[in-house]
Amino acid sequence: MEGLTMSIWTLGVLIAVALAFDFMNGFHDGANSISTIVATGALTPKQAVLFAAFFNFAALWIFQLKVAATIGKGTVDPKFVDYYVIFGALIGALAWNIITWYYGIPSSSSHALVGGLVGATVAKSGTGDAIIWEGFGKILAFIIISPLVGMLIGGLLMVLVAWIFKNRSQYQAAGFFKYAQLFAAGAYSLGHGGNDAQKTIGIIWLLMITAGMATKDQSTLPMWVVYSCYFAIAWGTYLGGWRIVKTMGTKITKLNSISGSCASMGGAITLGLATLGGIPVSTTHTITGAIIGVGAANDVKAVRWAITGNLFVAWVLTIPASGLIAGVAWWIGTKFL
Amino acid sequence: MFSSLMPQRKEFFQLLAAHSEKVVAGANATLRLINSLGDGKTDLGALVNEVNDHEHAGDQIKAKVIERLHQSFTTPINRDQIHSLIDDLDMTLNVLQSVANAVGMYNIRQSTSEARELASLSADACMRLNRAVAALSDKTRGAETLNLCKEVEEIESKADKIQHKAIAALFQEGANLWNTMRMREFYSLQEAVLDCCQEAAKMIEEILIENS
Repeated sequence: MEGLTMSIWTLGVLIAVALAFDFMNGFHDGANSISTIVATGALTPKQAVLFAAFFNFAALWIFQLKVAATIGKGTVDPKFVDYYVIFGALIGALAWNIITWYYGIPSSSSHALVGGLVGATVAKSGTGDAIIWEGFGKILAFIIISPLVGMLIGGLLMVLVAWIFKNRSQYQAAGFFKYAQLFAAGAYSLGHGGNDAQKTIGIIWLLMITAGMATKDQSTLPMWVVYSCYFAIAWGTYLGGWRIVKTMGTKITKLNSISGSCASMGGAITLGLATLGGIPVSTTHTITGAIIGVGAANDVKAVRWAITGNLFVAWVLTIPASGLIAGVAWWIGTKFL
Repeated sequence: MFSSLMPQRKEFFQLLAAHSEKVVAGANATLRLINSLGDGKTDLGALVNEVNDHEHAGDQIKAKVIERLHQSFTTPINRDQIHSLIDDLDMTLNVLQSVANAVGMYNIRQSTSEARELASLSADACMRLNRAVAALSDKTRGAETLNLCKEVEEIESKADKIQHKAIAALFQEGANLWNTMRMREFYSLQEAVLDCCQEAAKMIEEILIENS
């Protein structure tokens, strides 16, 4: 393994970049779950971000590292990976995130990371053989499946709630949902932390395998990696959360505490199932799916389908584009690093 | 998709239709009242009571709609639009009641051709309004409902012209001042019925546009 020659300095820088990626993830969308809580006044913005940050971190004690395993050893064959590949993967993902942020495309940083990893690995190996199709195929399939499942569960939850509260006005039901939404948002933050922090854990794990500091055996993965990844996403959530006032909630369809709870819970259940199954999914796309489902149950015309259309662009483009940038970044890395 | 699985609460459409039937009944009774003025045979008091009864029944339906709005998680159309439409329909019936009661209050003993024409236009507009409200739940009848609303608005402009002509006639030289005063008030009330019908028709149009 070429990684054995990796200096501790390079390793440290790559881990720092990976953690920064994780932090940005929390910074960007960790607050998705709390916008309705703040809007409905159940918690103050400060309390809400602490709440979301706590549950992002608490996912550490809930979920096994199955998603990390899929990223770390189930997507590309670790024997093809060296630190140039990880460098390429991180640069590809970061560059694509910046491009999509600039153009306002709701791209998934998770897909960008996977695309970057696969792109850089393929660039290095020169063949598709380095891809572990069982894992990568699962990720590809769930790009489509996770928003659809989110939509289905979110929509059905809304229908269920409408039947349970059939003879009460939404104003009366909102009294109950002021508290229910805290539960839903907590669950969603758990799902977010569980799935997203583990992607970075997976990348660092892969890095440590290539550096010879860990093996495919999970027990060899140092616990500080797990703690620091969960801490990075929680910290990002805390700092980024209260900058984000509107978010998905107001952009795709207007949410109140009731529809917000159904959307968060729909997202939480979908993320929870994906995380238990070890499938890295886009948390943003999943909650978007749930919001669309809830919006469609309330009123199909309330869903702003134009914004939803942007998501499809993101679905199709993210992996090839971040993969391509990662391949180029890998090549540049081999010349200059 | 999911919206078809939600509780449908079709009773709102039924209640709105039931109220608009009371409006039609009230308008027809008012028409009969005005047409019978001065014939000396008809029990005018009974006709006024009939209008009052329809108004009372309308009030009860309106109360039921408001109560249901407070007890429903979902509504088949926008909550505020249901509220506005029942308000407009109820206002139509209230003004019809004012027209009927004005006959006694202003001591109007003879009807005029303009009063009869305005009463007949009111009955016509209310009937069309009733058909539009009844078709509201059926999305396939959107075009037909929209036409009915347009017709109500045309009837209202026709009534405007008749009212202007009637008031101009009242102010001819040598007119009886007392008669001019009471008939001007009476025509204005009659025209106000059509204004209310127009408001309701516009609300229905708004609902149709939002739900098409």
